[in-house]
Amino acid sequence: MLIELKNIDKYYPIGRERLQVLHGVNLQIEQGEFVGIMGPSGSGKSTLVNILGFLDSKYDGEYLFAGKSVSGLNDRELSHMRNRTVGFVFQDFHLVETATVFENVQMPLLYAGITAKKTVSAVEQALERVGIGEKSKQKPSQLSGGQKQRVAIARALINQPRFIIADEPTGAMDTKTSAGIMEILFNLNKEEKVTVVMVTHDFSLLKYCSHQIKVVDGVVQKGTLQA
Amino acid sequence: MKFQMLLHTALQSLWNNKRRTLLTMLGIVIGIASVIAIISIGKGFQRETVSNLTSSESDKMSVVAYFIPDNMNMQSSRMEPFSPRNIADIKRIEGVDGVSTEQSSQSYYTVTVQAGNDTFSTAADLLDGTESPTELVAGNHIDRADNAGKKKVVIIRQDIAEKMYGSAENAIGKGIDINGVKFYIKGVAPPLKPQIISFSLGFEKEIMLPKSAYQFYFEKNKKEAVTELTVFVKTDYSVKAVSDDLIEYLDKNGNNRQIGTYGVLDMSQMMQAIGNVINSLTYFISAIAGISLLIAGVGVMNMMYISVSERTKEIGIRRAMGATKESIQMQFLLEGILVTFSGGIIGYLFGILVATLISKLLPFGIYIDIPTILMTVVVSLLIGVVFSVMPAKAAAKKDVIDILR
Ligand SMILES: Nc1ncnc2c1ncn2[C@@H]1O[C@H](COP(=O)(O)OP(=O)(O)OP(=O)(O)O)[C@@H](O)[C@H]1O
Ligand SMILES: [Mg+2]
Repeated sequence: MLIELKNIDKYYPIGRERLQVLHGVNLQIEQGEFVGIMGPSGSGKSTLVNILGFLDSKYDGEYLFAGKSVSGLNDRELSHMRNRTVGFVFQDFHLVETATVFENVQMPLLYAGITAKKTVSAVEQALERVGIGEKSKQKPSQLSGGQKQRVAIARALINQPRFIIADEPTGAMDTKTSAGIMEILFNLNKEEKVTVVMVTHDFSLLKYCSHQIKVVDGVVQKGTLQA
Repeated sequence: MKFQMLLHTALQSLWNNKRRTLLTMLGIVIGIASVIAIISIGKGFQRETVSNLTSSESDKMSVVAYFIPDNMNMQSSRMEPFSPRNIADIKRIEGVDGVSTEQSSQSYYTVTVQAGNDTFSTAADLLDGTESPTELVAGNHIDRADNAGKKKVVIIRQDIAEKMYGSAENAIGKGIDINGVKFYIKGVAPPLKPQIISFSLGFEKEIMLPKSAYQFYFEKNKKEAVTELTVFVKTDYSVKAVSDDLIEYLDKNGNNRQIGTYGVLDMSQMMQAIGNVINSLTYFISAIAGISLLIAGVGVMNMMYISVSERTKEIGIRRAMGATKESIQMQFLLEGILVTFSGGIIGYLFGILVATLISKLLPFGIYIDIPTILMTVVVSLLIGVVFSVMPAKAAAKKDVIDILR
């Protein structure tokens, strides 16, 4: 078992009150799955994947990653987990605008303690792989949305993570661009057995998913989501 | 992340904001430059003063003993503050290397000259006839015979001679009243060139007369009493201890202890005191200049806070990619330190340049020492750390989820 959530509750403080966003979430994800998460807006999908990706550690309940609890880890250990085991692809890309495409993709390797010289070939390979090898010197602002998302995917897979979290990766794209991005993620999952956890509103993307999860009002409902 | 990479990242972000970086750095440059300029000029002045004071004396450490009579109008001929017996006793004080009774040589002698209807006081050169002859327009020089015979002869300047007797030639052999005594004009020298500063010893005087005549007619009442004593101290003895012993002895046994007070002047202490005054003055002025550094530091802090808030998203992304809090904090701290450190180095060089230019207008050079360089390095690093640590902490504390939503 790669990921196991046990009875996760998540609260956001709203003034003096607190808003419960996740209610007793139990979840299991196996190595190599392509998990699609759907649900209405505001139901808690992003909150859930942020916990999965070690970005959020303020929750109740237990999170076992590869059999080990990550609930009590400190900042340094969580940073290490983020760096080595997970790659992120966000809806609005989250690239560093002042850095070049190359530097953006290189970043996780540098935080892994690898010297800049040794990163060059890996970065070039990753960029080739997502089909934008020739853009490496450009700034993100000079790229189209689809190209930016390819950079983000290259960055997500550069450290050879155990799983990739994609929060609405094609949310702002037309069908054709979207298909291109999905193709890359799908091939990654197929060929390298990288686990993918993807949040989407697009039912048509469910054909790529091996498993599906539905979140409604902070409660996880398993089952087939086929419309 | 390797330190080298953090440094690279910090440099890059400074480069991306060139103008802001330079403006912030300017404050540091000006602050450091003014402190450095003041210190290096101050130190140069201090060294100059001390070396002036020491060069006139012999290298041996010495104490000067003096006597001040209670009644200031008392004739010096009636005093003998240091009797031969006193001097012999002082030589036996422990640590005393020797005693010099040499009087502080009077730098010039003044006489009152009556030239026609004019009466004026002027400095006189006392000659013994062995001096190399100077240019004359008429008459002859004062020779050894004049000195040996205490002859009442004098050499005056051409302008005075012409005023009194019409021409230089006419004046030869005529009389002139000096301190009420009639001297005869033996020679006439060219008029003095106008002088702005006239206290130096080497300058020519208005009139010249034989030394023996001067002493015989104007100083014959003066007895050569020792009024001042220079006591040399052996190298391995404390000047302070010897001068304490000396004053104790003089207070008890000094020849004139009933009619006045003895005092000692410890040259080394005096020099140290002067040095200290200049030193503290220098540091005081630099402290004031240091206030500008403080303001520059606040500028750095301001820049860092702006930088942190502008790059909030970048911080979130870096954190998501595996940057620890410390790594983020270090990155921003490094940015601040880089600004102040490079500002410090540039300011140092600029300060030295300014000081060198100023010293061209001053009679002494600047002085650059290692402690000042170290101080620049430490101060600029310190400003960087002190004023960046809070913005850097603020950057590290930001919540990743809040940023990336
Ligand atoms: N930092 C926060 N502070 C307070 N409330 C929050 C915070 N983040 C999310 N929420 C609330 O939690 C709920 C779930 O938000 P979440 O972003 O997980 O929804 P979502 O399912 O991803 O929605 P969408 O499909 O629109 O992206 C929402 O009601 C939202 O207002
Ligand atoms: Mg969302």
